[in-house]
Amino acid sequence: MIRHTKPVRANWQSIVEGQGLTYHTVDGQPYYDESVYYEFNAKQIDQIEADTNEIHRINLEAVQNVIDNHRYDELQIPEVAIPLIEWTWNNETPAVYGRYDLHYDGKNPSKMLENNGDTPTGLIEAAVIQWFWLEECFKGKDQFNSIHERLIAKWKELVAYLLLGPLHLTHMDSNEDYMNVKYMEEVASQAGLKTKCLPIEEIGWDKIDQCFLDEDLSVIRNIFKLYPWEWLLKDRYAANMAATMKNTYWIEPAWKMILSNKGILPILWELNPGHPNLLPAYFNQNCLNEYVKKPLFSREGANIEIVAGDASIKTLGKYGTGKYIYQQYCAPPNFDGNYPVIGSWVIDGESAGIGIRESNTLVTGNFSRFVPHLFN
Amino acid sequence: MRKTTAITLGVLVLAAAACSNESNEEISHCVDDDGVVVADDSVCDPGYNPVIVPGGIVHHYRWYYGGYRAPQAPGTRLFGGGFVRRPGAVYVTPRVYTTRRISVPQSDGVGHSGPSIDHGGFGGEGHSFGGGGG
Repeated sequence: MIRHTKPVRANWQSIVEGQGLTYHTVDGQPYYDESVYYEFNAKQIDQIEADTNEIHRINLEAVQNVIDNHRYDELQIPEVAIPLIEWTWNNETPAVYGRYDLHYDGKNPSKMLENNGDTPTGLIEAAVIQWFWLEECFKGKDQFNSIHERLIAKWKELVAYLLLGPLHLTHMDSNEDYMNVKYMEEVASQAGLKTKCLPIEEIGWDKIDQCFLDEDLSVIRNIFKLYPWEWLLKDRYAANMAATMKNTYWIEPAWKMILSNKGILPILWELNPGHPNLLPAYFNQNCLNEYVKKPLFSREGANIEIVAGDASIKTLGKYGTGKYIYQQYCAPPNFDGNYPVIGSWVIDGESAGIGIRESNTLVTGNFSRFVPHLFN
Repeated sequence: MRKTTAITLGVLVLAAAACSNESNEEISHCVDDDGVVVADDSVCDPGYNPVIVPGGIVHHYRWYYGGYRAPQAPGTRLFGGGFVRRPGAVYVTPRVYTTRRISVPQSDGVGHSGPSIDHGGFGGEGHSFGGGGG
């Protein structure tokens, strides 16, 4: 695992904008940074792939454990969510993708830092932008990235399972969320699905027919969202979702609430103590002297506290009002003050590729840079 | 090879092009120290900034540029834009943006009428956070 620097393409901004990455620059600094790339060897890629598949396997086992033992209180999952979680899990309603964030140093097994199984973003960068970068800059080299093909394949498979009607896709106002949803529309439409995009506020509720409607009064039966389950279940239509769960497929499904909850980390450690792909984690500080304290519900590195001597750091955010978990601190690989985290994508239950986010601090946050990779 | 064989894009390119066509004009929001949209954007006026409240606490209000396709409600924490103006962009405040939209004749409103149809039951929680992806 080697970090290289390289001159950027002269017109990189317009190139990546044309490929869908309209949010490539934040505060005048590149969010997508092709002045840097990481090089792996095939053995390292094999390791990341195998680790990701193993991590996903034990995560699904942990979900089963939570459901079998009704451990919802430990995860602060509200009562209204339980029938949704259990229905979607037991009936295997459509689930497409997720992303594990991994600590990986090129030598040792990957360690799972956390999972974003519900609303993972960074998809365009990983699936499309770094692929075109490789084609243009390193034609003939390889990249661990079959995300695009696998997404299309998964949606093709789902054609037979989705309920009658188009696939709706809903988004919030932010450019990043909107473009990630448009990319999902891209691959779904290439798979042959009829699609319709709408802002989440435009979803309507028919009080007589008891169903969700789009802006044209068409019934919504299959809907992809980039809006977390814990927010959906705090919104006014939460009870309507539970009432219509058998007639409306929400993708990703409600059981992903368990997977994306940081409380899965202590449960994983409890079920798999000493596992090489896990870091010790608990619901209290326990015996940990150096640890990362994370809220159960948190995104983009918000409200994280690292307690590790000189490395101690605390981030701000709006997620800090609830329960926390404590995960053993594991110093990230340090490339001249740059700390990469591997975002390892799982599509249809299998490892499908990686994207790398690089930070100058120990916490990977909203403004960490996406950098491309290749392997030999 | 472990990578996708070929990528063709249609929907995404059109969406990006639409963003580019609109891209000369972006929305700027007035935010507080935490990047949260405030109701009264006059506090971002240099004449008002910084604001010192009783007790000597100093609040800084700044313009937050871009990141969103529509005005965000007061109380929303913003992501994805920044405090630096994008060269070539023209910025409008939520008030200007909204006023202009209202003055444009709207379509027939199909889908939004009828006593049995309710709207706006999703999205409320998300406005406290700005974006749901992670």
